[in-house]
Amino acid sequence: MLKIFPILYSIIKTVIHYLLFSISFFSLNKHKKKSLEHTCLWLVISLLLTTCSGNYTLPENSINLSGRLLIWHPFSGEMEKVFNSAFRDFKRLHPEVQIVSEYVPPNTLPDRFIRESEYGFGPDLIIHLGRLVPKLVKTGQIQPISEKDINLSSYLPTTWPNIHYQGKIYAWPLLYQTRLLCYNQAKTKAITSDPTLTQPPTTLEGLIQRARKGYSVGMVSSFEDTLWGMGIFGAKFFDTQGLIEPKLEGWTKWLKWLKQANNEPNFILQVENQPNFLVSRNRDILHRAFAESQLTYYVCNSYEIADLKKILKEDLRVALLPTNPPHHPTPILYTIVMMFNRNSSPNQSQLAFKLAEFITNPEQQLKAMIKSQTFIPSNQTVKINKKLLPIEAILQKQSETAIAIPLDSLEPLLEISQLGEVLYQKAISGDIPPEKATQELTQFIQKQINQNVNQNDGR
Amino acid sequence: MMEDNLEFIEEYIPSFPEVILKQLIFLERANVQNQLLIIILCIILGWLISKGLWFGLQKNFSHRFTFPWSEARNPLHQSISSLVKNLDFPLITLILLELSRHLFMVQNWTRGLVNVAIRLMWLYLFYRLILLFLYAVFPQDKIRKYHFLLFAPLFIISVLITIIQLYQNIEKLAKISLFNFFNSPLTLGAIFLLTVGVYLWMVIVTFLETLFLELLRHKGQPKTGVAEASSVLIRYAFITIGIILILGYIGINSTALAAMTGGLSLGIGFGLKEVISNFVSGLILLFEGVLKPGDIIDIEGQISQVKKLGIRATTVRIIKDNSEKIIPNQKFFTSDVTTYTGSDHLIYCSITVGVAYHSLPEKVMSLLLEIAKEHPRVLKQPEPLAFFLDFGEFSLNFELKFWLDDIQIKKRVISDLSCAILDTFTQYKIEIPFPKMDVHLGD
Repeated sequence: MLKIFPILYSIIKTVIHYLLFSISFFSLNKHKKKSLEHTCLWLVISLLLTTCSGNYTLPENSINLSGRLLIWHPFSGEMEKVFNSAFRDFKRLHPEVQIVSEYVPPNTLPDRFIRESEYGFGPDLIIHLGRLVPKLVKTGQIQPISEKDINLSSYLPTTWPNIHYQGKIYAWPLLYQTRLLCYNQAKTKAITSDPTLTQPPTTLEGLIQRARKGYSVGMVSSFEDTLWGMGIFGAKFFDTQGLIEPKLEGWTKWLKWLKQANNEPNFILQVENQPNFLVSRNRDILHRAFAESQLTYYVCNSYEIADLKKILKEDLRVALLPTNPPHHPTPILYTIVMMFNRNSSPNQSQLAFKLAEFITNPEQQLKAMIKSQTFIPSNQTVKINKKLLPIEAILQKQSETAIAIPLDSLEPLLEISQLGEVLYQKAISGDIPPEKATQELTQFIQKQINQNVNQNDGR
Repeated sequence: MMEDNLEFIEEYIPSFPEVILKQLIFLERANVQNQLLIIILCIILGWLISKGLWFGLQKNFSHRFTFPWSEARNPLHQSISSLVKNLDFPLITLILLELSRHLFMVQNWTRGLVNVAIRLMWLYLFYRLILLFLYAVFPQDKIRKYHFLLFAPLFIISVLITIIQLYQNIEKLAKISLFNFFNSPLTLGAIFLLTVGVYLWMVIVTFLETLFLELLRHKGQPKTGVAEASSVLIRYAFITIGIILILGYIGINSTALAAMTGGLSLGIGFGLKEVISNFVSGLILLFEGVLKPGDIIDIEGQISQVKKLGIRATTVRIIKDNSEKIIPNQKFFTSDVTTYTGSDHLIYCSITVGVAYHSLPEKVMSLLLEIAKEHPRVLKQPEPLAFFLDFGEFSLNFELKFWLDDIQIKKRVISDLSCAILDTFTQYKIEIPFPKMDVHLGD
């Protein structure tokens, strides 16, 4: 609102200047001068009044919220129903609030938001992957969240780097997604009645053992999709501060294990070695194969669970990813966040914060989790009963060892990921030994770190 | 490092109440208000300054800054005055908007709408420039017609599309299917093309035809009937091609369309027999080229000039009383039509005159030829001829035959020549005798 005064001041000044100029130049009579001045004054005042008539009451401390909100989300199907139900609950609590919730395809959402924000339009609240934050901060389209608006202690501390960017909080965590082991219970019992084998494997050795016994295992073969196994061999990308500090020796062991597993007859990692099966680098094909009961075990993404559950019903079970104690698997934790438009009015921003707070409260998160069965609640105070909600409990448990990519490291990591993918494929196909792949990747990351250090010193 | 793990479906199209609600949401924002305010102010200020400027110029240089629209062509100073009158508002507003943009840029305020306003103002300036050019080059009455039929709608559509694009992807909006038509989904885009698209295409083709004929006229080539008939044919051909292309682009099922039109054609054939007969006759008339605009014909005992050849009817001007008559094309095939301008425009006319028996025939004939040759509208080639016709009861009878190239002046030329004959014969003392009768009474 304060912005408007200097504009008005300059406008009025310009108006007077131009009018006086034109009046003296065209020698208008006194009456005409007067009426012209009155017209301009009337226009300026009426516009000023129109501008100031907006609803600027801050509802921070009021119980009865009112106003209008526009939300963009990338959810369709069941997930859309889940969130629309949450919005309805919010409206029931605050009848004076009007919410327009729009589905925007995830691939077009970022660019559309940037384009519309340039006009001052766009949603007040935008739901998308947290990785969008750096792009939107750079274009100046989202506003930072004050620490007094968000209670960080409710959210997993490991995911804090996923909402912080350049020292500020730009996103409100809504839900997490990660990878875990999906299995078809009917198929596990079809081959043998040995209770040790009908249970899901807890170790990598157990997974191999099951593959040898005839249980088919599907795993998407890519650098990013297999990152979860690096942690089992002690490899990691980040230090305790979330800074890039590669310790990739364990990746060599993991690549060797994957190559070994790939030679197992029922282990589906690469199409070239599996003449009777489908491409494993394509998640859709493996997803379909698992849904059609062609696979017993499948390293799935949590967002696939709802669809698989619809097809496999009670046969679908999930388990934690196999490990090799004392280390844990380290799948990536994807954070779906809420971001707030910089153009929103103070009232709209406050409403958006209140809505964000509402849909991340334990009750709403649990409700949404039960309905969708596809996500991990961002609020860590949500208590899940293992017996009543077995899938949800596994999801939450898996998220505890998952790693969140710090937003500050996102850009360098994208470059690392590209090279990692090339080296991974070469190593799996036997073009280069796993040791060489690890060495090249470590050197590349080290070079990047040195460059950054030099750049920072130069400044 | 992350993947797009969110399902993809078609973009959401908001309902009308949601669109209204969205506008209210946007209008509540200071960034939007600031931009709208500055745009409105710039437009009002631009308008006031331009009015003031025009008022001042008219007051101080009234002889140079008058702007009579009624004139067919503007002299140079009037062209300049029309330039000032038409371009000052967009130019001044553009300058004001650019200044505002600079201010917003310096302050790092949201300025997308200001940019859009500048873009639209450039479009408006361009639109005014095109109109000015057309008004300066072509007859104003014709351009004024297309100003409202074509240019203004085109400009408004461009503005509307720009505004809609601020909120919605227009391509996706165009794909919204409302209902099925001939087994093809009829989308918003298709409806737009079928209505506004067809209308604009027809107007554009007609406008280009007008420009073409005007250019011919400009180059000194008179508007011939052939050119006009050809342009009518080309116009109908282009309109038909355009409609076929639009139907093809929309993807109307051609088999279903053919089946339906086949069925309808029987009913239409009976119901609109006369119209179709006239339509076909019009096509034959245009293709055969027997009749062209400008032709002089005798139809139903009246001499008329063909004004316009239409696809259903032909407009003729009755020469006798200058009234216009619309004759269904079929008539030209069911009744006799005499054309005076079929292979050429020449008309053979004659004046008969009797002189007293004591006159010299050679002298009379030479005088008649001299009179004919002196008249500016009597053609030199074929040259006029004079004949000694016969020995009348009380006079020697002569005939003057001459050629004209326009039947419309026949009466006037005959009148002129008759007066001249009377004057000349009086001057040369050649008597034009009255009828005499000798009555012999018996014993």
